[in-house]
Amino acid sequence: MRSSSFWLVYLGRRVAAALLALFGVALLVFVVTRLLGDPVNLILGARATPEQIAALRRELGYDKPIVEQFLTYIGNLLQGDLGVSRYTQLPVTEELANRLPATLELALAGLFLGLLWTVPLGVIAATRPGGWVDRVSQAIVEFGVAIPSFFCGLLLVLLFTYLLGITPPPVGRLDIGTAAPARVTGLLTVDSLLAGDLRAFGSSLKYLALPAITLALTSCPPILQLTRNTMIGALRSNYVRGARSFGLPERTVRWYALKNSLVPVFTMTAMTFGFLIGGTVLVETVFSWPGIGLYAVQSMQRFDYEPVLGVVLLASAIYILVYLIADLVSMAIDPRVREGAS
Amino acid sequence: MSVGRLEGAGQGPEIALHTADDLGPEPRPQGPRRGLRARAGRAGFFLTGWWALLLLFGLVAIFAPLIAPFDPVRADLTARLLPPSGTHLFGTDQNGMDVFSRVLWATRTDFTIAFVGVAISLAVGVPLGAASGYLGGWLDEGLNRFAEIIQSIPLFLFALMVFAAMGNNRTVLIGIVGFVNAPIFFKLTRAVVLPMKSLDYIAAATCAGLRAPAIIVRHVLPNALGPVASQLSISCAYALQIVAGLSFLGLGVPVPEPEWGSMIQQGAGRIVDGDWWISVFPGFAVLLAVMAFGGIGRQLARAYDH
Repeated sequence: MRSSSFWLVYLGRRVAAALLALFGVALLVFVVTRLLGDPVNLILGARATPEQIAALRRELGYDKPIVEQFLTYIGNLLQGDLGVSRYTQLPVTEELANRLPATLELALAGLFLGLLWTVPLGVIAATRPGGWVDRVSQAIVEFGVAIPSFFCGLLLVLLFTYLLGITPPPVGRLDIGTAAPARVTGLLTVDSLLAGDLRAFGSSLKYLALPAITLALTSCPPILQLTRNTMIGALRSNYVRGARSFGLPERTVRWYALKNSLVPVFTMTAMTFGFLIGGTVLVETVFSWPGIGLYAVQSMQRFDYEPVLGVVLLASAIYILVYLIADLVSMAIDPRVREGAS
Repeated sequence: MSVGRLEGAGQGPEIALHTADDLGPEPRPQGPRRGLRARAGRAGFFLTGWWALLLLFGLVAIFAPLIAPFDPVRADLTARLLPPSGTHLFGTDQNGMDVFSRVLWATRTDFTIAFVGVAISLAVGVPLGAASGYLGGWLDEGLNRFAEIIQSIPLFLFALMVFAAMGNNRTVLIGIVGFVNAPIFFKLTRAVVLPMKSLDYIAAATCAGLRAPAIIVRHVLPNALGPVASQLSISCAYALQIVAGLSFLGLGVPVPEPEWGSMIQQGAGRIVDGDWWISVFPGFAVLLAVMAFGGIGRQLARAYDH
């Protein structure tokens, strides 16, 4: 009984905090774009006549009192209405729905590859802190964190596309001659498998490889660092000492330590994923990957305003949501986190 | 080890650089003299290595006009896309501009923007963090929420939006660098100040009749010096990445002004044709500068910890 009411209170508090953060983001976006800056002048340029400016202000509703503008803006957001793109004349929500799967596919692939190298390496490094594996992996982490993602992507293109010739040029998600599979999830690798189209699958994998590797190298090193540090902490803990003193084999002991290290690693992984949704802009630009980041960049270059705001709001919302879920999940699986919160 | 809220996870290098090395090798029984000397020697090498690299960048930034063999923005259409050679050490770009000279001059551009931006964030973040931690209450609550909101917006998308609303120029770029770094200094200072409130000597200072601002400046803030110094270096690394990244998207620094990120962008389209030098040299300049600041930041953090 006590535990269920505790859960409700905790859940309520976390959800309220997330909603408040969402509102804060929406407010900040509003303040930056309507109070601090003036998009109308930027859209029309310096040579616009006062009549043109007045007309566009009326069209966008910028001539209304600021409070009314804000209420309209929040009201639209609540209905999922992010405005209309001036360039394509399509609702931004629709455009985002079309492009989000590309970003999702890239982020998931990058994270998958990232976990593949960071977690095992972190575990091995932790078994001998200061040993050569540890030192080499530290160097890799320092390098991966320091190198700008777009530059890393370009180096990979130079190596694999130009010098070795095994990957396609960095433009898009499929070969030109390959038809896209019927859209189910929007993830081309998944859809092509569902359609049984191996040719499209191979093609999409080829195009996905380099941008995903770029993300795995540049965004995932913190996961290695965290895995290593929590593992070292766990291996020095009393329960591990206890297990060792019972004479349990080292493999078993390490497994105990690993199981207990996985919760923070999981949280970190989830947050890296949340971050990647809005953080792939540069990599999407390098590889002309048609996700939401590239959409924001292209819209910005066309002075198409609403899509940029839409992408900012969507990516922030996803980040906040993923953080909330990760928090609740780690709460559910790890009694120590629960203890800390109550 | 509890993780709790990881500030701005993945938003940049600060998180990884923070967590690096807080758990060193487990002390092993060994001869004290040998161990100490070996350790000091290795640490000393890297210490001087990163500082020397930074000094080199600093000298290049200051003396770029004297060292650079060519005018960084003079186009020479007879010398386009030349690979590295004795005359053009780093080759030339599509406009026939000398990449070596541009990389040198760009050090100036990038360092200036990064430094000014970080200085702003320091000037905003530290006082607010100290006040927030010391005074508490609604001020603390409000500022904390605000810092969290800033950190939950994806940096590059947020920057795109600000550029779209406020114009594409250098002032906005500096403002963005300051804006995203300020919450880091804020939280850092707050975290140092918060547990100090209850210390005896602060209570003594209060009894002695000192007012809050005086106590904060004289007795509380000096304790934040160590962590702030290390974060300062790490924030410079972060700022350089932001500047290069945004210029890569064509934001902040107008072409053809020499700037690392926009130079990388200029060569990006030629990489598949094998004209690698246009992007690769400025790219390594960013990488080395960021690594130098990151390395120094970690050294300072370690020095402060022990």
